[in-house]
Amino acid sequence: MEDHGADAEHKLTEERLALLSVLQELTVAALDLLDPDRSADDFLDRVAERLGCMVALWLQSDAWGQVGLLGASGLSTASRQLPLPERPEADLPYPELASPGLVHWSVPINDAGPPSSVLLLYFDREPSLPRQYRGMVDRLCGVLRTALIHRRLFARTLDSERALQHERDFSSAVLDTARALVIVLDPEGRIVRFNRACQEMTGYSFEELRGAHFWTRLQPPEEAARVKRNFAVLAAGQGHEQYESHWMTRTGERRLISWSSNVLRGESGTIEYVIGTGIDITEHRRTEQERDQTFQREQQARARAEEQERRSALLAEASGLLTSSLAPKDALRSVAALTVRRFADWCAVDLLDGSPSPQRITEARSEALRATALARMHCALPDLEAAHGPGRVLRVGEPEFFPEGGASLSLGCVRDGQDLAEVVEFPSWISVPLLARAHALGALTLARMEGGGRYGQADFDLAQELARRAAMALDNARLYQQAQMAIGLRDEFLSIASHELKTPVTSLQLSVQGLMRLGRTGALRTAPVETVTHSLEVIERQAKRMAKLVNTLLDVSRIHAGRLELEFEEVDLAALVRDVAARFAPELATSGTRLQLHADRAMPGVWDRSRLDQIFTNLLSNAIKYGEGRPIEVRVEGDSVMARLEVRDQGIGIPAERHARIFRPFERAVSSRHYGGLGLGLHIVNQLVERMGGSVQVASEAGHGATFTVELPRRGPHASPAAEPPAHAGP
Amino acid sequence: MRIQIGKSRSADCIAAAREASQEALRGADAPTFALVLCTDQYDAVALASAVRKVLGDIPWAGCSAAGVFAGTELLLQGLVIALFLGDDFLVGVGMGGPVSESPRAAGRAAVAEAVSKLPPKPPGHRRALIILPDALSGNPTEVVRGAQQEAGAGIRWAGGGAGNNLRFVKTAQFTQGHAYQDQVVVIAFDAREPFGVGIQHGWSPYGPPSQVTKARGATAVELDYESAFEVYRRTAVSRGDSLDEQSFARFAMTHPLGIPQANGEFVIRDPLSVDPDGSVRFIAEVPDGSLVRVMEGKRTDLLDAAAGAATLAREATPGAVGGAVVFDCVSRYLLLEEGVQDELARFQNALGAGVPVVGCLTLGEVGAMGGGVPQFHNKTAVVVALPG
Repeated sequence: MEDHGADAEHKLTEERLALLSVLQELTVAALDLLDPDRSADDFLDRVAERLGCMVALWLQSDAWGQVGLLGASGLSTASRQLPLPERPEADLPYPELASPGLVHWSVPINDAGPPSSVLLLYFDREPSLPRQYRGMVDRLCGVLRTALIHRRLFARTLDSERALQHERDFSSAVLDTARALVIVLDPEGRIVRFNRACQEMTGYSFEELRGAHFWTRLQPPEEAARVKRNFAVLAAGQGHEQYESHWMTRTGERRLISWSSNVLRGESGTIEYVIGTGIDITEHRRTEQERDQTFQREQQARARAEEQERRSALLAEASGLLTSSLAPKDALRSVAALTVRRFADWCAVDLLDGSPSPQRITEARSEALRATALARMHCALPDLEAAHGPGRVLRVGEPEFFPEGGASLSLGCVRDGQDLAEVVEFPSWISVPLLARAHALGALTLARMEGGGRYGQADFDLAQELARRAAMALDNARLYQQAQMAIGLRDEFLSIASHELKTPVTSLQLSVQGLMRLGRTGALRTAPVETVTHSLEVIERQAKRMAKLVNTLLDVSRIHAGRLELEFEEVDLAALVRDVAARFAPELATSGTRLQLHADRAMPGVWDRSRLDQIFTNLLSNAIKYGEGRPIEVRVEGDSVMARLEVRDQGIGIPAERHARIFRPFERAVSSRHYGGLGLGLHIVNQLVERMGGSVQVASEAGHGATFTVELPRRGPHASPAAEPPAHAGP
Repeated sequence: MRIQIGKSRSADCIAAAREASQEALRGADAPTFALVLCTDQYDAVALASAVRKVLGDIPWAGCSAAGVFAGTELLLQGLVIALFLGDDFLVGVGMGGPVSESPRAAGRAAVAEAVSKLPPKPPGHRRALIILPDALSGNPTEVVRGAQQEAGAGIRWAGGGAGNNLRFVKTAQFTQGHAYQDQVVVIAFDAREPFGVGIQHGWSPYGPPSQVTKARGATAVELDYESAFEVYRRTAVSRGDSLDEQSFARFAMTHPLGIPQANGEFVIRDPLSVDPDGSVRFIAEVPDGSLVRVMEGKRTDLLDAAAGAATLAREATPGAVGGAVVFDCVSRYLLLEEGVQDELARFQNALGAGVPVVGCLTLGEVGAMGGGVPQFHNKTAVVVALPG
C-alpha cells in the first residue's frame, strides 16, 4: 500500500511538473504572439507538440462575423486555402478533421463580443491527459487573450508607425526628389533634415551634418556671425524670409544660394522647425554678371567705335580742309574752328617762322567757352621759356598731355571783368607739336573747360594725328612756296645766264664778222695790224669771259652733283691774296678803287690752291663790283688753327633780311638789271669754303658796305677740332 | 507491401552496391522503390553513382548514418538496400533545402515535392512520410515543423537525421540517383493499410526539474537562472556523480535532457557540448520556459523501449507485416555498446521473426510520440512497421 501510495504521489508530482512545464513553455511561447508579424502557427505547433494534438486551430471572427484562420498546426497547405464558414466550429472544411473518432476541445479566447477568437484542439482519440489540462488550456487562453489584445495594440502601433514611417518616407522621397535645396533646422539652428539635393550640392552626407549648427559647417566664416544673427530673428518668427547667402561645399567651393525660409509651429504655437528652401543661383548669378559685363563691354566698344568714328570724321574733315587749300594758315584756322566744334573748348595754333617769338595763327573758342566768358578774354602767346605748355612744346618739339589737369595751366588766358582779371584754367589740355621732317613748325593746343570732360589717350592720339596732318599740310605749303620761289629764281637765272652768255657772244660775233668782211674783200691783207689785233683781243677776252661763265656753271653743277674734287696742298693764303690782288690791279684801276691789303704775314695751310684763288677772286670782284669805287680793305689773319680772310667794302651793302639768301644759288642781293653776273658767286664761295672745312659770314647793312669773313682750318677740312677729335695714341 | 533487403560490408562503392543490390534483387519481382542506407566511410557521390547503375530505373532514396543494419546484423561499414515490393502502395520522393538557410521551408518543399509525385490519394489509403533531414545543418526541429505544416494531420510520421559516426563532419542525402548535403529527403507512401509507427526511448527523470530561463535555439544558456552546465553539474553531484567540462561529453551521453509532454512522456534532447560561458548545446532546440529534467537511461529500460517501439509499430499495423524500418539513435548504440545487438534482437522479436528489418543509427529521430503532430527526438527509437 505504501509503495502504491508513493507511486501515486510520485505520479501526481510528475503530472504537476509536466503541467507546469507545458504551461510555462506555452506561456513563454505565447509571448511571441505579441509580435503581429510572427505567425500564430509557431505557437500552435508548440501547443500540438506538447499536448499531443493532431490538429490545433485558432479561429477568429471579425466585427462582421467573417471567420478567419489566425493560426493552425496539422493543416496542410491545401487545407489552409479552403474557405471557412461564417460560424466557427461548424462544419470546418478541413480533410484532416474527417477522421472518425476525433476528440476536440473548444476554448474561447475572449468572450466579450466580436471580434471573437477560439482555440480548437483536435485529438485522434480521447487524450490521456490529467483532468487539470482543461483548466490549463483555459488559463493558457487567458494568456492568449491578453497576448491577443497586446498583439492587436502592437499591430495598430506598428500600423501607425508604418503609416508614420510611410509618411516620413514619402516626405523624404518628396524632399529628396525635389531639385531645390531643403534644409530643416530646429530652433537652435541644428540640422534636422538635409535633403538629397543639399547632399549632392555640398558633398556632405546628412549623417555627417546631422545635429550640427548649419552656420558652423556650411557658411563661410565671414558670413557665419551675420547668418547666425539672422537665424535668431527668423527662429523668433520675425523677418528675413527671403535672403541670399553662401554655402561652402566639402571641396571648398563657394555657392550662392537664394533662400526662402518658413517656420513650422507646434500645436502650442511655438516654433518647432525652421525650413529653408533654397536654389543654387551661383551659375545664374555668374551668367548675369557675365551678361552685364558683356553688355558693358559692348556698350564701351560701341562708344569707342562711335568715338573713333567721330574722331575719324573729324580727321577726315580736317584733312579735307588742310588739303583743299594752298593757304595753310587759312586751313589751320578752319581746322581750329572745326576742333572747337567737335573736340575742344579752346584751340590755338602757333607757328615758328624763324622769328624770336611764335606767331599765333588762330585761336578758336567753343560756344560754351564763349558763353562763360562774358567779359573779354585775352590769351597770351606761348612763352618759349616756359616749363610746360605750348611754349615748351614749340621749344622741344615734344607733345604734352594733361588729361586730369595735373599740371593745370592757364595757357596764358585771362578773362577781364569790370573790376578784376581772372585766369582761365583748363583742367584738361593737350599741346602737340606740328612736326615736319623732325622740325617743329608750330604747336596745336587743345583744352577743355571744367565740365567738358577729360581728354583720354585716344584724344591725345587724335590730337597728334591732327597735328601730324596739319604739319604735313603746312610743310607741303611751305615746300610749294619754296618750289615756286626756286622756279622763279631758276627762270631769272636762265634769263641772266642767257644774257650773260649772249653779251660776249655778240661781241665775239661782231669781231669775227669784221675780220671775215675784211677777208672777203681782200682788205685783210692791207688792214692795219692794230685793227686786226684789237679784234683778236676782243675775241680772246670774250672767249675767256664765256669760258669763265661756263666754268662757273660747271662748278655749280659739280657742287650739286657732289663731283667737285679738291686738291689739297700747302698754300700760303697771304701770298695767294697778294697775287690775286695784283692780278686785279687793272680792274681796280679801271674802277678807281683803292685796295688796302693787310697780308704781310705768311698764313700757310692745307687747302686747294685754285679754289682758294677762286674764293678770294669772287669776294674781291664782288667788292669791286658793288663797292662803288670806295676803298676795299682785305685782311689775312689767323692763329695756329684757323686762318681768317676778311674782305670789306664800303658799297651798297646788303639788307639784313637777305643775308641768309645770298649764299643760295641764283640769289643775289641786288637786281640783275643793275648788276651783271650769274648770281652764283657767293653760292660757290660758300660751298668751297664748307668743303675746305670752313665757314663764310657776312656782316652788312644796306648802304653801309659789306664785310665777308672766311674762316678756314689750317690743317684741312678733316683736321678741324670740331670736325674730328684728335686721335689718341696707344691702346 | 514487403521489403527485400540486401547488404554488403565492402568498403568499395561499386562492390558494395553490386553485392547489396544483387542480394536485394534476388527473386525480387518488379520492385517499386528502394531505401538505401549506408555508413559514412563511402564517397557519397561515387556510391550514389554505383547504386544508380545497379538499380537502374528503380526509384530510390536514403541517407548516410553511423551504422546500418539488416535484421539483427549491424554494419558499421557497409551498405543496405531495402527493395519495396508490391502493388498495394505508391511512393513519391522529394527533397528540400538548404536546411541551413531555411529549415522550415526546406521541410515544406520536400514534402510538397514528394506528395506531388503521388497521384491523388485514393479513398481509404493511408499516407506515411519518412523524413531524412541533414541533422548537422540547421534546425531539424523546424524542418519537421515545416514538413508537418505542408502535409497536415492524419499522417504517420517517421524518420531520422542523416548522420555519421559522431565525427559530425558531413552527412549525405540520396535522391534522384545522386548524393546531396544540407538537404532533407522525404519519402511519401500511400498504402491501403496504415503504416504502424512506434516511438519510445526508455529515458526517465534523473534530477529535479529545472526551468529553461534562457535558451537560444538548440542552446540552453541558462537553467534556473544559472548556466546550464552548472545545473547539470549540481544535479550530478546531488546524485553522487562528479562532473566537469572534460567529463561532460561522457556524462551527457547517458544523461540527456527531457522536455515534459502533457501526457507524461518526455521529448529527449541530446547534449553535444559545453560552451565557454557554461551554455550547453543540444542537437535540437530546447524550449524556453519549460521545466526540463536531466534524464538517465538504464540499459534494460532502453532495451525495453526498443521492444516497446517495435511492439507499438507492430500493433499499429493491422494484418501481416511486410517489413520494418528502424531509426535508432546512434547514441543508444554508443551507450549500449555491444548490447546494441540485444536491441536489434528486441526490434526483431517484437516485430516477429522473419519480418525483414532494415535500419540505421541516426542523429535524431522523427515521430509523433503518443499521437498528434510529429516532433524531432533524440536518443529515441522509431520503428515503422510496413503493412504486408
